[in-house]
Amino acid sequence: MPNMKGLLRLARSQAPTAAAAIVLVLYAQLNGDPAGLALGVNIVVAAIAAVGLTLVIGSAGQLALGQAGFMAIGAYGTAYLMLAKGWSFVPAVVVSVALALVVGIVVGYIALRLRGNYLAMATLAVGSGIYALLVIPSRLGGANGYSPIPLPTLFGHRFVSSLDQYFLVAGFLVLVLFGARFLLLSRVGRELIAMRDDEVAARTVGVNVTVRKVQIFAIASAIGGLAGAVTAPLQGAIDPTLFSTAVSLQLFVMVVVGGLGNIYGAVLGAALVTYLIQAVPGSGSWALTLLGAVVVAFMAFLPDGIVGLVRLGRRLVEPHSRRGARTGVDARP
Amino acid sequence: MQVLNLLVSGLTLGAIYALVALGFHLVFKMTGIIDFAQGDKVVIGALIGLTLVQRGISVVAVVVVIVLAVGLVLGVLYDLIAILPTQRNGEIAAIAATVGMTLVFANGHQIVWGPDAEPFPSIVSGNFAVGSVEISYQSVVIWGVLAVVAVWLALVLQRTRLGRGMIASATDRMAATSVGVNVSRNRSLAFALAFGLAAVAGVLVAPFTLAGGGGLGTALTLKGFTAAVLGGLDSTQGVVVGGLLLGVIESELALWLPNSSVDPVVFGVLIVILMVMPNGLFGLGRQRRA
Repeated sequence: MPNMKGLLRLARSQAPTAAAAIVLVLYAQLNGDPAGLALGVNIVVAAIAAVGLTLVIGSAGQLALGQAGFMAIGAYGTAYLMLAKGWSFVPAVVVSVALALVVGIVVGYIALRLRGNYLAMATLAVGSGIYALLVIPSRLGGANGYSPIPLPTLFGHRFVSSLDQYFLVAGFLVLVLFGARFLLLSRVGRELIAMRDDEVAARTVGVNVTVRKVQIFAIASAIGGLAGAVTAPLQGAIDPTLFSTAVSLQLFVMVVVGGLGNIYGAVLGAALVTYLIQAVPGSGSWALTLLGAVVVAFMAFLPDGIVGLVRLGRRLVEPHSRRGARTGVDARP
Repeated sequence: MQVLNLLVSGLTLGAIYALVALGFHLVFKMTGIIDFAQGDKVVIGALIGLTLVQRGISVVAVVVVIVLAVGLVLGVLYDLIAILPTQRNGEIAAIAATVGMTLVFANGHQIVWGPDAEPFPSIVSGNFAVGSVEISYQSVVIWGVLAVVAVWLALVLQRTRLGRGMIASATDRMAATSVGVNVSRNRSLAFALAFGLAAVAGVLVAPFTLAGGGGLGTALTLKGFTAAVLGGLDSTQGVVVGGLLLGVIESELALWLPNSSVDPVVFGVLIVILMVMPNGLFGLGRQRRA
């Protein structure tokens, strides 16, 4: 075993991913009823998209607000290929994720020319534009939605029971977390953080800012597309409101609450936001109003999100330790 | 005469966009922040107006004045709650906080006023005809308000000590403070004016758009921002022209495109404008904004 050391390091760096996987399994044990598992599926799908968004917003410092649009591409792509073309689950997911990736590359090129405020508005327009395209009456059903999408099949196994479906999406989430963690700890991840903190300095030390920006947008979009692609066959029917601008903003809230840039925090944020929207009565109005206020409060007092709480606690215990770093996300107009 | 009729409705729509865009312009010029809740402030203004009308205040001028006053107060509170505490956390914090406020407004109004959009009586009813073109008095009122607000704002920003102080605050907070500009008060004032303006715009547009309902705020935010960027976020004149132009283009597109295809086109246009000419038609060419 020549590369034992490397493997060990990989295992250690992926410890949080393993912890997340254990929590996901425990959740299924504790909430085995269909309602609990359905909530679990929603949480996990939101978490996949939020992890993708975290890579762009937190790690690369690019304020993007259109993630639901990429979910829509993945979902409608998979649904169309499975329903109209009769493809099976895996190739449909692969092709629709690739489509989201290509659109993400285009958005990445847009992002090269824009910063901060303007980028946020442009990505919001991309998301809203995709939603507006889907509402147009077409072969994809327009505002009425698109159905019936066949259930997914993997290696001859059909995902019928809620438990199977939950473990399918949970498996995808663990894969995404593994990949994202690996990416962030690699050279690419460090280059992204350097780029976020100071683009000029990063360029000076040889970071290819152009390539990295396009890459990270493509990856995040593909992950968003994956979230949509796995959810469409499970839902059976999809309609544009599942991917509206409001959903993009919810995903943004998940990233903020989870601490900009922390992929595991984004999973927590997804769980919190999805649970609140479902649990608090008023079809989301109360929950989202509250969450909006939470975002404002976080930005005022804890710009590092839940993870910042830990840092704050540490600072209270050791008053003379060095000051916590600010979120170094670049948002010059 | 379809083209002329569409021109008139386009100018009305454009005036609405221009009023929203002026809010963006005001906040951006005076504080350097782009406020994602701008469209939702319009919705809040409309709903406050609706409550007043339902309470039996039938004189429109009174409704507008009360809504303006409430809007100004809400603007100060908005700054106090969302903007002031985030100032030391970097600029993304302020933007994210305005996105948070978007959620508060867009969902909070459904708690207070119910989830469904409600009809709003027009301020002045009736039409008059110029040749074969029908023009409603409501449109004339909107154009009038836009003209007054735009001229007043241009004068304040360009000719008064206050306006210059505000621009100085946005350009360089530290330098402005050191020469005696009260940056904090100016920011508060800018947000008060922006909210007041948006609230009045809400009352004016509500007869067309209905008051309340989900999604309207974000749509207005995007359209208003497109208008502002089209004309140039830096220029008061540019923002007004950009708004009117966008409204007219959108209306005339109805000649060729089905109604539902207009929005994707407009959002596409926004992205192209941002990439090709981020300073807009009337922008100051010295500095690249995006």
